[in-house]
Amino acid sequence: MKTLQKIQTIVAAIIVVISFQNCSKDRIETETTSYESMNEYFDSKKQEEQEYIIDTLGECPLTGKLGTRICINKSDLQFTNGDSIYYPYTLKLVELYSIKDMIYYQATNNTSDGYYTSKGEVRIRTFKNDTELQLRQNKAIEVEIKDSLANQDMSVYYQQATDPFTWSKSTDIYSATEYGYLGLVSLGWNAAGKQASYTNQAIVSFTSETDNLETVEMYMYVSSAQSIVRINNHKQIETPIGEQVTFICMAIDKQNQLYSYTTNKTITGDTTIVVTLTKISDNDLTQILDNL
Amino acid sequence: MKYLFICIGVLLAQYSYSQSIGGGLAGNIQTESLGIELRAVVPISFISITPQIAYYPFFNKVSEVYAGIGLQVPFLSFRSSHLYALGHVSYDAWLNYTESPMKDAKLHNIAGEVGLGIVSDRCLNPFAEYRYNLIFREANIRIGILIDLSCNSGAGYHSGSRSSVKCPGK
Repeated sequence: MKTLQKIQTIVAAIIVVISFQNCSKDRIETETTSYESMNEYFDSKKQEEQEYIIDTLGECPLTGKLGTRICINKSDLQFTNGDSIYYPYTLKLVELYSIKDMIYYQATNNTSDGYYTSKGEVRIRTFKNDTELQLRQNKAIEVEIKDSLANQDMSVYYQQATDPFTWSKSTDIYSATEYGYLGLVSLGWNAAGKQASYTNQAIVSFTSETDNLETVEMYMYVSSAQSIVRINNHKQIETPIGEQVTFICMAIDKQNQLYSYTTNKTITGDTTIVVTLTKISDNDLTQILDNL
Repeated sequence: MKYLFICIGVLLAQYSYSQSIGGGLAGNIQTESLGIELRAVVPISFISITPQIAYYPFFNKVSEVYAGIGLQVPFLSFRSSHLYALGHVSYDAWLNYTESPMKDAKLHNIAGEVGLGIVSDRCLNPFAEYRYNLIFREANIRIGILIDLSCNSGAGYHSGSRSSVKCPGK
């Protein structure tokens, strides 16, 4: 009989647990739509990493597809154990100049204390066979970011964190040239930019009765600073008062249907934006990002 | 199979209940609502029929009145308490259904619940229930106290297990 009682108790406990897991708050909370990760979609659209075999015939500078110029002195490269390298070696380059490409690469202009104006982001890596190389101490590579309108020096920003992608301003300088911005930088991600700072800011909050914003990619584009900022908390962001800003929300479902919500605003004070995503085609969404 | 039925029969034969009335608090976890309830327990053989009414007042996110009838089947006894499985069917008047974001919310509803409960087997019997509302998919907790009507001759509290209780009138 004790065995029977144990079985009854266990069955009762299982029923309670299962039923509790199936509970619903439909009567007091709006059922919102959740979406899938956009990583796969972004990866399918992002700039390809360019690969160059550097040998004795290599010229300096090497020019990337979007115009970035790079000069590396082979003797400045080493294996992690300090050993020298020999030709040929491989240089891998990612160039992000447009807002759209920065979104696709998920390398938006967020810094630990706000955001910056980016004139171009590049990732430069070097490999000998499959082994990634590093720069010798106190050595740098010469990089020139293409910008025909360059008229003032910029700071060099380096990647500070990967998830979410965050930049950090360094003391290095990208000097304005006729071609763009010329700097001596490290390997990895770097960008030419300047911090966007505003005296008066307001809090813009986001809510939705239809969509689970935790599963939505959300961005703010500040026109005057030409900065694209990912809203990492999916809830609110500090926004400059009096500036024209565009908020872009996008999502994708299990059937790979895209959704978006876009609104342009000139912020005058704290405000709440009610987001309602609607279906959009890949072409139309691409067009929206192209126009930023 | 025959022995299984005999075992179940022997198990259930130990339950013999009296009529009780009582009430308590009702809490709906999902709607974050708190209400009050009244109930009677009418034993029929080893099972009990339980007419019940529960009211979740206006200050709750969901204000409603349930009036229905339940069935309790004891299945495990220990010391002076027992566990029971329950089923409950009721009419539900959802008083503030217009405030709900639910698309098909309406005033008149029929609710079905299943659950488990525990109650002591004395004269003043605290009880606690976990109930799952199959229609709205919500969990309810009920706690309260039942008065064993067979104890009203002044005998006071019972002591010991149900099988050893000597209630007046039993």
